[in-house]
Amino acid sequence: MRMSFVHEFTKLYAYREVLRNLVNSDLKLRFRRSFLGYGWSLLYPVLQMLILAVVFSRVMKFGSPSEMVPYIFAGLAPWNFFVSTCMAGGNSLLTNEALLKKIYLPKMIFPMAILLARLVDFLFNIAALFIIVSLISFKISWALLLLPVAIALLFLFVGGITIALSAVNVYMRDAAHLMSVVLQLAFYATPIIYREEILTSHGYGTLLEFNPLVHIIRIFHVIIADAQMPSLQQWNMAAAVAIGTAVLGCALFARLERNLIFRL
Amino acid sequence: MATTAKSHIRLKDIGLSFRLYSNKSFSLREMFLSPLKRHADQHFQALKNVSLEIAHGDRVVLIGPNGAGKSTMLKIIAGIYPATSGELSIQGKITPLIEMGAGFNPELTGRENVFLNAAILGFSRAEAEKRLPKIIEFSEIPEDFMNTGIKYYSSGMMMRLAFSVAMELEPEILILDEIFAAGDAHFIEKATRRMQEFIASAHIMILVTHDLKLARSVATRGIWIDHGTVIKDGPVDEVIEAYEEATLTAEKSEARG
Repeated sequence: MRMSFVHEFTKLYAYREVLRNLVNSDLKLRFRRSFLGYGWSLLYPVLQMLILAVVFSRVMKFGSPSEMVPYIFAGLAPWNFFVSTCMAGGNSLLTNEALLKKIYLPKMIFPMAILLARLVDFLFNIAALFIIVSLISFKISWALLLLPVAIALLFLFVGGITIALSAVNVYMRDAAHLMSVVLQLAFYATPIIYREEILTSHGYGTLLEFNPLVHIIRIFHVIIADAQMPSLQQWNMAAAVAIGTAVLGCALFARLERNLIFRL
Repeated sequence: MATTAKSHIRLKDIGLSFRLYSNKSFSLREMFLSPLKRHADQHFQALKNVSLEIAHGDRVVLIGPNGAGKSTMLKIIAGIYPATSGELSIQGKITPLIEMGAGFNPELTGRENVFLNAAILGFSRAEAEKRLPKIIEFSEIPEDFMNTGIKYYSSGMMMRLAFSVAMELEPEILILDEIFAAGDAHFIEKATRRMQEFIASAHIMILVTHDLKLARSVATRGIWIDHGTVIKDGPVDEVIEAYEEATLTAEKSEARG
């Protein structure tokens, strides 16, 4: 089991040139021939964040705009990365069915290409949002230096789910449909547009801890919105969730990979 | 890219059985069906205990009726299908041209597709960059078209571009499935000549085709496959003769019966 696991990644390295090409096409093609081009990938989250900030701070009175804007940004950016990668990466083997039947390529290359391309989007999003949020209100702290660690954990978590989903989806086409419902639920079950306290004050605190996404996004909330250093326990939980998901996801993929071609 | 080591392919008792799924993936609904019903899937033995040794310098053609297992065998050698039983040993880099332009993305430009296709076929960026002018020249695609999405290409142009990229490979083990050049008469002639050079440069060539005239002209060894087993293996002329005779007798007896 462990051998096939390592094997997947050595193959991926051998085919890095293909991976690079696939990442480039994903980045280029989504916005080709639109006037703003790649600008859309920056503009979209900014507008989305502003809409949510207006709705939830002004209309729903979940908090003042100067509080809610950095908070929503801190949770929404990782959430968007998660959703877009899951949906596109989860379908990536099916999308490339024709190619997989005509030439040998390590199958993990397809979800991995989506994962890397959307990571690039995410990094640009974070950078753009930082600039905008800092105009409104922003607390800068040394904790920000640990943002790359938080991003790495998010990457592992999203990667594990996307890679597993891409293979499961070939065997069970319901998976992608089910996933879009689960994501819908997860969006409301995870404190992104509201604060954690809203759930804990209603006695859902324990339930919250069972949501793996909460542990990852919490790190972003603490670092960006609270401008504080996450506690050791918070780091540990996030790391456990991220590494656990990545290992399980890759192991599941390695197990399903061999006969996958017959199911396409 | 080319190594001096001798290439070979060895198949020992290779077998492949497909499960036939009514619609390939089982949906959630089926998961709740009785397990008995679920496992009623039928198996289809596409290859049965095939043992073969293909040596450096061999020019092999696989012949046989549709559904005999020829393409399945190519796909096992190319690593696309995992064999369900037996051992496969391969020495040499495999260049599978099962379909020209596999991996072309219609949205990408001609130039971008050259790089994508070249990467899929095993070129580094630098190698692809170096060969780009030659590829464009051979394909006869106007320079400005190279920066246009290939969804705007005619099918002839697309074939020409795919062919030109493929011909830049330095294959050790060349795998071809029903390959033919398309385009106008002038291009077909030029492509056929290029193809002969290309095949000559490979250590090993394996071709699947129904064109027996083509088979005679490019191959030295014939392997006749039917129902997943090797019926006859030997010099190409002998094997083709035997195959033609058998199909003819079969047709006659059918006409009589």
